[in-house]
Amino acid sequence: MIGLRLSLQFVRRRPLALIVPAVAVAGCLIPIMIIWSLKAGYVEPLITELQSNPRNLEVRLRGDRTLTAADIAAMISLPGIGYIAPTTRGLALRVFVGRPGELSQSDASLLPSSAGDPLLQALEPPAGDTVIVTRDVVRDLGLKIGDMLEVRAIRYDAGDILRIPLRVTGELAPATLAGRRLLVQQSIILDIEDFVDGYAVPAHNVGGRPPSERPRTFANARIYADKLESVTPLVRALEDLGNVPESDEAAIASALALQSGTAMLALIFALTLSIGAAISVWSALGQALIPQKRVVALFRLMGGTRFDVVAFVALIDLCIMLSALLIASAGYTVARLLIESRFHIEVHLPLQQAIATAVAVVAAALIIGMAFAYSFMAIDMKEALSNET
Amino acid sequence: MAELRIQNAVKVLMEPHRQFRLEIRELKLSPGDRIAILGPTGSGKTTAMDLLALAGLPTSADLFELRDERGGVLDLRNIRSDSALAKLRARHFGYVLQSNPLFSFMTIRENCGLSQMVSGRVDRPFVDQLLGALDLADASESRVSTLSVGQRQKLAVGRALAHRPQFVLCDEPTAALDSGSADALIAMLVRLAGAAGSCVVIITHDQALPRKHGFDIYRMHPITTTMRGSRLLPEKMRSS
Repeated sequence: MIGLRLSLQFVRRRPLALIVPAVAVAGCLIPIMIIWSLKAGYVEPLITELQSNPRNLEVRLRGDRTLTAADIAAMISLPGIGYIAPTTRGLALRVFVGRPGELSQSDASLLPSSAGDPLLQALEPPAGDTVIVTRDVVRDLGLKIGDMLEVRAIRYDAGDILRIPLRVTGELAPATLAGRRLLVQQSIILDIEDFVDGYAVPAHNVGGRPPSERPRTFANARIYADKLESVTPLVRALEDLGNVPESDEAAIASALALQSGTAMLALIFALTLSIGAAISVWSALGQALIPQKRVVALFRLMGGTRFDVVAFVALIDLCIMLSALLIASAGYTVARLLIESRFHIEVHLPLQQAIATAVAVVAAALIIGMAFAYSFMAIDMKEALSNET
Repeated sequence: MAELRIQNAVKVLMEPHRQFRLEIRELKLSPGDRIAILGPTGSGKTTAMDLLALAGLPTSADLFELRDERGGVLDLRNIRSDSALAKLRARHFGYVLQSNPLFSFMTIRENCGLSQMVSGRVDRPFVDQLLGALDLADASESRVSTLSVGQRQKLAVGRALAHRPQFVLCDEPTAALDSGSADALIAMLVRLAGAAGSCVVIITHDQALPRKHGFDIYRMHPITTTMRGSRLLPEKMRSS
């Protein structure tokens, strides 16, 4: 306990010997905490949003072309395919929607959907009499879940209108799908195309040319990769099949680069500044304690034990590191408020990482303290006596 | 009171470029004794001090024992534990050194009481009494940086005596002082140690000072062996 009493006296009488190295260590800790916070509070949410939003997995095929069942089968077999839904040509996808019995209507686009569609997330896939709509449609028509709406398609040459009533079972957020869009079963889209092109649609009692005369091909497809990393290879593979695909791969690549860049930056900063902090503590301990070396030797000669010496050094070191943590926390809070108010960037150090930082600092303190204590423990008590033999 | 007895002790230092042999034929430190060890620089005085201070054990010895106040005999040759030796040093020994290091972050009173703290014999009134006797009472709450060299030596005397040790070992305690201050310091040391019944051992170059204060003189005599060495022998002449 003598060592502890000595160190407490040291701490009480020499506060500057603690505060100066504590400020130096805090000066190293604050940038680490800020970079970590930027990574955790700004970059990682960006990446999470990028990874969790299925829209970023989409690969679009530019223009309409003729896709046979074999073409679709070739696409399905591509590595990295998460979901594929063949669609008709763009003209047949554009319809009007309104409430049944009401004249007011809005234009909208249809998208084929089925089980496995990443846009559905937790929603049930649409059935033959149901529809999932985007928020814009809900807003324009004043709909709520369970309401009925009517999809209207026009056969322009005859002026006929096909009305398909559907019950709304889900709503998609704008972040998932923007604009006036409706997710419906593929059969509905095929019926509308048949109707628009003048073929009979028996399911809706519409006459026309026999559907059997129509060769069944598709004009496009909704394609999604299974994960972000598959987007770019999938685009290349689709190009190889003769398509003109486009995706958000450039933005994804930048975001992924930003993620690895900030991780690397945080690591480099953490390593460099940790070394700086360790050197600061070591030199501060040296400056504070080396002048006491001879008196420590005398203390040992007087009967002070090695444990006393270790306790003396280790507690001073621990006080420096705890002070550094306090100063760093205060400095970090100020820096965070400044960054948030000036740059409107959210800076956030999660509790787990804050605890990890504190644990790392205390562990470093113990390692440095023990190393220093070891050098002090090795002081020969004979150093207190004069050097002659 | 305790007694330290040494017979035919040899300490051999085998360090690179530095081999040395110290022989102590017979030495007994009894309560109230005053012993001065004289010898030129490099003759092994401090090696002798290491042995007496239990900072090091002899390479060989016929007798190296401590008889405590209750008559118990402790054969020091058999002690290998660092902490056991530390306890003995804390309990029985006080030290006054040539350049007395002091804890700069402690007050004069705290430095004086350090030996009490280490030995576990805390007696604050005795510390104040010592500081008064050493003429340091007025500055007792000051930092040691305010002290002159002479005052630092006085404080070291106080620290060495504060826990009432049986042996006060002084390694050239007056080397940094002028003759007047040196004389006053030894007089003070002898008076205070004498009052406590402590044995005082001084290592010094100065022949006159120990004689003046009634010390028994021991000298380091060179010995001829394959290595450098000295033998500690009494002068066989009690000074006045």
